[in-house]
Amino acid sequence: MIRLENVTKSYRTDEVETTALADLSLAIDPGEFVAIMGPSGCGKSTLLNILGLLDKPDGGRMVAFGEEVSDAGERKLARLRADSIGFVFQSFNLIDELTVEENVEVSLLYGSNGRSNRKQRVADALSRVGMAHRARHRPQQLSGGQQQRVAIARAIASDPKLILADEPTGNLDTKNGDDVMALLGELNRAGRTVVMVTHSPDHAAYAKRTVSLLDGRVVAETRNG
Amino acid sequence: MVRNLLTTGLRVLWKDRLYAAINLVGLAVAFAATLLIALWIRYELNWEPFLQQPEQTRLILAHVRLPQNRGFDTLSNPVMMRAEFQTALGDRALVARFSDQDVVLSVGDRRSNEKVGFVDPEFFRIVTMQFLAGDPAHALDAPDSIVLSESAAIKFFGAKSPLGETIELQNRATARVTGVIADPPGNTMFRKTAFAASLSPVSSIQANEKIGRWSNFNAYELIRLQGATEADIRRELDRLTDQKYPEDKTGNSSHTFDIVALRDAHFVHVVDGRASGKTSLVTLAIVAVLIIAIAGVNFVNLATARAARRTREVGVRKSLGATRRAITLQLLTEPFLLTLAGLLLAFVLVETALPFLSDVLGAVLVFSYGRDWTLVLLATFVALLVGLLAGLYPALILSRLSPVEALRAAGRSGGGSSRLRQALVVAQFAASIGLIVVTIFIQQQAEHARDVNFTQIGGDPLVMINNLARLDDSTRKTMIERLNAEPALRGATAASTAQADTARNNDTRDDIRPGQQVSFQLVSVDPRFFPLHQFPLLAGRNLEAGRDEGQNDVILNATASKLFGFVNPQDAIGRSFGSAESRLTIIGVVPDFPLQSARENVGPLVFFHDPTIFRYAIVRVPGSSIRPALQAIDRIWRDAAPTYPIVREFADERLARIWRATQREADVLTGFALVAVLIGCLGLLGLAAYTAERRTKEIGIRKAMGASTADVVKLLVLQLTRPVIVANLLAWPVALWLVQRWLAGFADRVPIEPWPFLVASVGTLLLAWTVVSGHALAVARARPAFALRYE
Ligand SMILES: Nc1ncnc2c1ncn2[C@@H]1O[C@H](COP(=O)(O)OP(=O)(O)O)[C@@H](O)[C@H]1O
Ligand SMILES: [Mg+2]
Repeated sequence: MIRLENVTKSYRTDEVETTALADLSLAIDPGEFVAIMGPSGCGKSTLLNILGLLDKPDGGRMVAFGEEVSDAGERKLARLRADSIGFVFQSFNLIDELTVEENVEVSLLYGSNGRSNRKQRVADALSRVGMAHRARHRPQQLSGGQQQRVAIARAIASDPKLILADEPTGNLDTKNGDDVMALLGELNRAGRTVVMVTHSPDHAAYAKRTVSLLDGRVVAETRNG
Repeated sequence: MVRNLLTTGLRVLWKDRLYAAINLVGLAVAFAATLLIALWIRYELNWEPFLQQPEQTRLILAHVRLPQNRGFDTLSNPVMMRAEFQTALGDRALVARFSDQDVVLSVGDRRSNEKVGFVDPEFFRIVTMQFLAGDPAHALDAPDSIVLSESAAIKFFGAKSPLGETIELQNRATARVTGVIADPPGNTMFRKTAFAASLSPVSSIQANEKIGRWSNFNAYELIRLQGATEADIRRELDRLTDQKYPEDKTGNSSHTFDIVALRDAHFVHVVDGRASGKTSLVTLAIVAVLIIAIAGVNFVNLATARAARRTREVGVRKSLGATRRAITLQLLTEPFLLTLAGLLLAFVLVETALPFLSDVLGAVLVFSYGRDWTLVLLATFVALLVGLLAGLYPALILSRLSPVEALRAAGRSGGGSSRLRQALVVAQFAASIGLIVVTIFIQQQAEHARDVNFTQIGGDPLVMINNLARLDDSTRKTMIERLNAEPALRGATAASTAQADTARNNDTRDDIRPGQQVSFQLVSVDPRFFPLHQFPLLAGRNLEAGRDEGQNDVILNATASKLFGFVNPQDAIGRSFGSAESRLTIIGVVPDFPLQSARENVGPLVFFHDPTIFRYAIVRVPGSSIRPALQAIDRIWRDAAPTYPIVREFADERLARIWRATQREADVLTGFALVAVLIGCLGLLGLAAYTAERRTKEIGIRKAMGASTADVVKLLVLQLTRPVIVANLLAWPVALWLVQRWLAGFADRVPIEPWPFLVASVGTLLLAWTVVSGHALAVARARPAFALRYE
């Protein structure tokens, strides 16, 4: 589904150059549930941003959804994000000014598969994560766990092939964290590809494969179960 | 403490240079514009600056209404009025008349045409101009005395003292110089070369005194109250209306008088075609207030918007033990620093712009910190007020938050005051749109008025000779004949009045329509007047030299033809009115054209051919060889009238001179209105930067959801379009109302068309889009990963 070959990425700030990814190769197959682990600063978020087409690698090749994207234009990337990828962030990233419903609807505004019966799809997504009763609330009125479930609803509303989650349980307590993991597992069983960054070995155990990073390189890969 | 406040304040400003620069420029330009407007308004309100007791000094304004005619208002009054006042008020008031004339002054072979005021002996005790030599109280006691301005004294007598020297008036009378005054400033109605005694044989006051008609309005009536009150004057004026104009009781004419303060008289008086002085001053004052308001709103808007950014800082400071007072003080320092810096910069701008503006306005505006300390103080006060408003809201809100609240709120985008901000932006746009609409109409009207006047002189250039009246009848006649015969010229004609002339010759008759009084203006023209101006005849024939001379065969303009009762101009031809020597026979009808001023309705005009009252010669010269033509004119004049220097000018220059004041006012107004709009845009720029920043996270999320750059730009630009549309809905009716009111003051006015409204709206929208889209584009282009990173 996505293949990275010798991808590099570095950041330059005030004379200091930080290498976030060094010569990294990785392939994600359809239907997989991959957990990415590693110490803070090793490049996990950078990798996920590149997988999600939010950022571009400096070097190497990248093929996503059967298309070469290493040098794709902004318009094409935006379309792929809208149609094929759903995001879940550690800090939820809901828009404060919009209601729960409207936040979920945002993911349907820009893609080609969200044009018809938008309201229905929003309602469906919310009921799948058990948040239908809070549709008219504002994000600030919800607990962290609830906010993350809304974020997941947003990620799945446009029915993307790939769901990317950057430490989705990082800001949640154990109970809520487990609920979110259960949701992600369920989505994977329903056929979606999931790539998730986590610090928790327990949560990594939900995945079928674990990729370990260190200093921007893949240092280990284990298959679970 | 203070040092810490200042350094933090300065550092905060430096960190946010765009914000600081936008505010600094906006505030400085706004303060400067307002100060300049204030200086101009003060100049205009401060006419006759030399008056010792302005509140005791009055002029009489006459309102004359004649049947079916618009009538006129004039500061000139019957010359016999002075004697009546002197009898009634005795020594409780000083009364003097003033009448200006073009007079040939000569000393030896130095001779030139000058504007001379003829005045009564009390004049200089009322109009207290500064004397450099001589005694103001008695300088004009003798009938042969004259007071010169300083530059006239130098012109005629050079370095030697002119006192006691003699000077020839009009080659007819000799006057003795009894005083020298400083050259009159720009803001006085009495800007003359010299002042001579009203008893001089050359004086028109003298001549009119002999004629003794209360229907002639010839001289200003100046009064300085010395114990008498306005009520005393009022009573006397009412008595004059009653006794001197008995026809008011029977017919439908009326003669009434008003008392005006001398200092305000220039607003009433039509000086060089400008009569709307007070309206345009009020408009300018409104613009000044709008400019300050817009700049202030910008500043407050930006400051409150930015305050949200500092929530985290406030939280940290509070958790470290800063008191509410300390926080408030700190948040207030920054806006105060900015407004005061803006004010200082404004003073620099004012000093730079003042000479330039003085030049454009044709007025000497001065600004001195010592003398104008009230203005400086007022400006400082306004600056501090703006600073306080801008700082107070954020200071109060933020300093009240508990440290925990502050830290928690820091992550969120500040929503609370955004509604207020929207409202302010709408108000600002509405003001800009309104201003643009109003100035477009003011410009249009100014141009229209000028154009209407200019069309009358279309084609090859016209030269006007203004002092034809000086010549005796036969010289006048040969002059016109010779000008006409001259091959270097394209023809010449003459008339009793011309553009910008305020003299009128009105007649009222009851033998034109049964049972009705009909009044009209009489104009004497040479038969070549119509062909030379290319005015066609609607019916009948033109006047013919020799055949139609006198006041009996007349040509009507279209309005007069209607007034006389003819639906069709054709019907008027050949009709006669009246009997014997006062008979009028209509031989032709011409269309309406502006005769004296575009500001007034043309009114009914009756043209006849009486060379004895010609005052202007009009010569058409070939555009390709103007110089030889002018030489020919001068030669012909010199040959026929060697003793009088010719006074001539191009008709278009004469018109340009007359309309310059009006046009100038329109231009200055447009300039300041543009300043207001630009300051509004500057504020918008800041707000756009702020909004884009505030929405960075949201934009990142939307991009992660697949929004393209175009989607985001659209989002940001549309957000701005809504307030502009609302602003339009608010501005249009108000602007329409203002424009209607303003245009109502003009007889010949431009139609109110929709395009200025559309131009203003589309213009502001485009401007706003341009200002905002740069920022929107920059933000929208950023990679979403960057936008989301710091969450
Ligand atoms: N926008 C950025 N500018 C500069 N350095 C960055 C930026 N984003 C990430 N980095 C650096 O790149 C490295 C990898 O970061 P990241 O992928 O966020 O790590 P992780 O998510 O594994 O904690 C870190 O050293 C981080 O400091
Ligand atoms: Mg990370």
